Amino acid sequence: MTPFEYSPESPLQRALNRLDRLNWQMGGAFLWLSNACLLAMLALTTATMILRPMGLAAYWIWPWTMVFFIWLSFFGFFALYARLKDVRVDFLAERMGAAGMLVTRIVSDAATLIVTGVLLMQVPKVIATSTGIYDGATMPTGVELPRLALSLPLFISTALVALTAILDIAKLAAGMPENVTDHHPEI
Amino acid sequence: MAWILFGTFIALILLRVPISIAIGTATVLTFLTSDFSTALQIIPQQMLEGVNKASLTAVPFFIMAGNLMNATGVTERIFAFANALVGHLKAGLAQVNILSSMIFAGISGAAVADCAGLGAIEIKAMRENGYKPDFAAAITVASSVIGPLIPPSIGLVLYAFLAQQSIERMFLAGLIPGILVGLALMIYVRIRAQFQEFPTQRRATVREVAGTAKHGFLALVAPAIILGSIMFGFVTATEAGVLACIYCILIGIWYKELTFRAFFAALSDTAMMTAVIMIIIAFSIAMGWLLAIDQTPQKLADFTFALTDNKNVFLALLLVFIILVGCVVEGVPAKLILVPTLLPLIDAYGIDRVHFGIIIQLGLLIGIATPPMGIGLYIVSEVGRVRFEKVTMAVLPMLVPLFAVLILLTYVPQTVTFLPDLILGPQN
Amino acid sequence: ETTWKMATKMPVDSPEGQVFQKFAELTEEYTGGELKITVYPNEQLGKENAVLEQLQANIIQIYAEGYSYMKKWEPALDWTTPAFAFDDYDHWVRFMNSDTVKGWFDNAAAQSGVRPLGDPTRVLRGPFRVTVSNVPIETADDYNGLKLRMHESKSAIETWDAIGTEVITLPWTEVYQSISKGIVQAVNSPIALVEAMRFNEVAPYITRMDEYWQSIGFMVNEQALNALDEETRAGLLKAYDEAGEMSQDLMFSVADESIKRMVDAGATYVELDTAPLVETMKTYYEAQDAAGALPEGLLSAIEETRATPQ
Ligand code: NA
Ligand code: NA
Repeated sequence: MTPFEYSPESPLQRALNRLDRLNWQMGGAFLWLSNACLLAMLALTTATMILRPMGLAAYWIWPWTMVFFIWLSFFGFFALYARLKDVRVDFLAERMGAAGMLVTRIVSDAATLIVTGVLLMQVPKVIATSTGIYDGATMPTGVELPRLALSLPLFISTALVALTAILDIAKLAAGMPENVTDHHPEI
Repeated sequence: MAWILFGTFIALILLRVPISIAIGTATVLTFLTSDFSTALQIIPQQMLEGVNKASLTAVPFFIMAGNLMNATGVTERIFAFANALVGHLKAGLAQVNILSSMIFAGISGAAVADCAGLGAIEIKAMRENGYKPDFAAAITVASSVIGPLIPPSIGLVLYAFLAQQSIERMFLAGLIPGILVGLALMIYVRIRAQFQEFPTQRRATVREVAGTAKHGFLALVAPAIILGSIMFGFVTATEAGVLACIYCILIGIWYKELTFRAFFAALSDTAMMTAVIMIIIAFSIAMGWLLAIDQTPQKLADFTFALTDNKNVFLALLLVFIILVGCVVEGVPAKLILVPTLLPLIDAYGIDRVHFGIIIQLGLLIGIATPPMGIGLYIVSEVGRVRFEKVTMAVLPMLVPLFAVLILLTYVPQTVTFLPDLILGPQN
Repeated sequence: ETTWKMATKMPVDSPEGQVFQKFAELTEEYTGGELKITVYPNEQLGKENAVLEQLQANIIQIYAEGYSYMKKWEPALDWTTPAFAFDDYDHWVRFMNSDTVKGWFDNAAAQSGVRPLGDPTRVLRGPFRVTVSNVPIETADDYNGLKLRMHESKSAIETWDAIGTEVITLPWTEVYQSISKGIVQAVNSPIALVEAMRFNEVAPYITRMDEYWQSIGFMVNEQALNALDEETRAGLLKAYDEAGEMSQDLMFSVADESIKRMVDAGATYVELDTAPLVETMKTYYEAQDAAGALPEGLLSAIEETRATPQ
């Protein structure tokens, strides 16, 4: 069930559902950021193949392809979490019935908060040490992309993933079902 | 340390935790209990290292090519051609299922595109012809193992990077093993048809074969174009992936079967699949850093050497170990942890790295068809509407031909190294 | 008793790997076992920027790699190996030990706590630069229009642009393929890597052109260094000095043997007169300096360390 299929009853549920819908749409926005990065990679690599025989391939194309690849992965982290595109093994939980689903829901949220918590606590250190530039990723201004710009999407996604897990715990407390899709994830 | 890592990971996976979070939690907990619990900044730092790998940029495009083929109806054309060719044999549609996978393998780099896209067509056709759904689903999973052996292959791109081998060499090395798996499954089906009644179809006329070949011509030459362009053309592996995607798009436009909607669905699926893989890689690289700084590979090598110095015994142990790991850990994280850990041993026993690459590739691939983590089983039980347990039971006997090929590849290294040595020249 | 972790990119059995191994052994010997060094080869702990950050955090204590990566703390350190700026090797050594370059290292150390262990030119890399091509290069003019592979560095690209080559950027691992497919005609490389990368198979013309000289920086964490007692530090520096000497002998003998093998297999080896290139680059550097693109003091340090006629 997605937040758009759920009908809230109490004011608390209504408020949480509104947040959940917002989060769901945010996940969609990040999916599109990932898509845009993938399209950029496709376009840049195609351009390289066309321009190279003509001797026109610019040196910054490849570094930027790498930057988009990194961003694709990091923006995707939140998208795949919020939109339930990750791989989840549910046969054991289903076998254990409602209790199984409840316990695994809590375990999942807890695990998510451990990972994201540890990652977010490192943000100050990473900002302090990620000095320098990404070689060759020249921007129109002539300066090269700061290295820090590579990790920022990871931290933004991580923060949003953490919020998603917190939201799910709040939903659980308010007696609301977790988001599920019948999409069978692919890897 | 390894116990915390694998124990946490497997437990969390079985508790319905998303795989990227499961590997992340396992990594974080292992760090917290190690000597480096105060150096946690290593985790985000190595995550960036993990995704900042030039050779892995091929990954999304080999995924996308498979998705685009499913979106443009190319997959149906491949199936129709295979059906005209071998549909009249005993258990014909089962043979068609295997042959289709072999052709599809030449364009797609992932097993799941086979299970999800081609698989849906195969299982539907088999059900309509009177095959038992669990058998149809099972042969679909078993034959999807061919996909990541026959080039292009995401797993082999990853291995080439980890073991410092050229992608070209790994791709060539996978070709014969991939065909062998296909043949082994075909022989298995043929033998089984000797004892068991399967639905039959009439033989296609030469005209029909020619018709489907023409109908699917553009699709059928794609594998040759992709492999050929990597081997002899002017492109890198990543560019070959892009070329494959552009080719699929152009076919879609030519056949007027590619809609914007389908294109963007394929794009989104690709982005998400890539992100899952890359986030897993990112956490695994962080984990790999810890294993490296703890000198786990060297310790393991010393331990194993104390056990046996016989290469054949070692290979047998290795096979059992890889298969066990493959049952519980998905191929990408398994490779990321195992390959750097095992390489010192592989070198010490004098095993060719290309040879080892194919052993570990097939060994881990079989895991997609075994419980509890068989991703392939989940997908086909979904697209084929069969119960997970029933597919699992039906696929068990099909593991026999897969294991047979794996043992053959392990003890006859020439089956792997012959083709790359022939075309690229022997290594060193 | 202390154990230091030392990261390198190089495999254990490479000449550089052997030097590092020797350094580890000598350190243990000369410090009376007080300091042990564990070498982590093959980029096991990550790529340059990641390893430098680990060095900064004292998670590892030595990183053996080119100094140019310290540019993340002091951008001028990208200029320790300007192309065709020096008359000869000794000129470069004097430059690297000049007050200007010392100032750069000090500035990097002030920000990061990471600095060179000793004389920054002591451990040799390369030991010299060659162009490997599928067409002969006998004079500086032969570079005109040559399709040359380059890494994604703006300054390297501009340099070889100024020399007249047609620069094409490619990953290092794709060079062999790209030469055999005609995407590029030539690649610049330290001589030590030519045979290992099998470049000579597709590009049999090997031209020594001494683009620049390279050393392997032994970058250390200051905090870890200061924690050692005086005696141990002296032992460490002695080991560094001897490992440096070993590198000088080993690199050249390995290079000579490799060249001989490649020539026997059909390659051609020549040494280029680089004076015209130094002349070309001088004009280029002056223009760059006028445009403010060079670090302050670079050109004057190069001039001041030029040999004065005796
Ligand atoms: Na394939
Ligand atoms: Na199949």
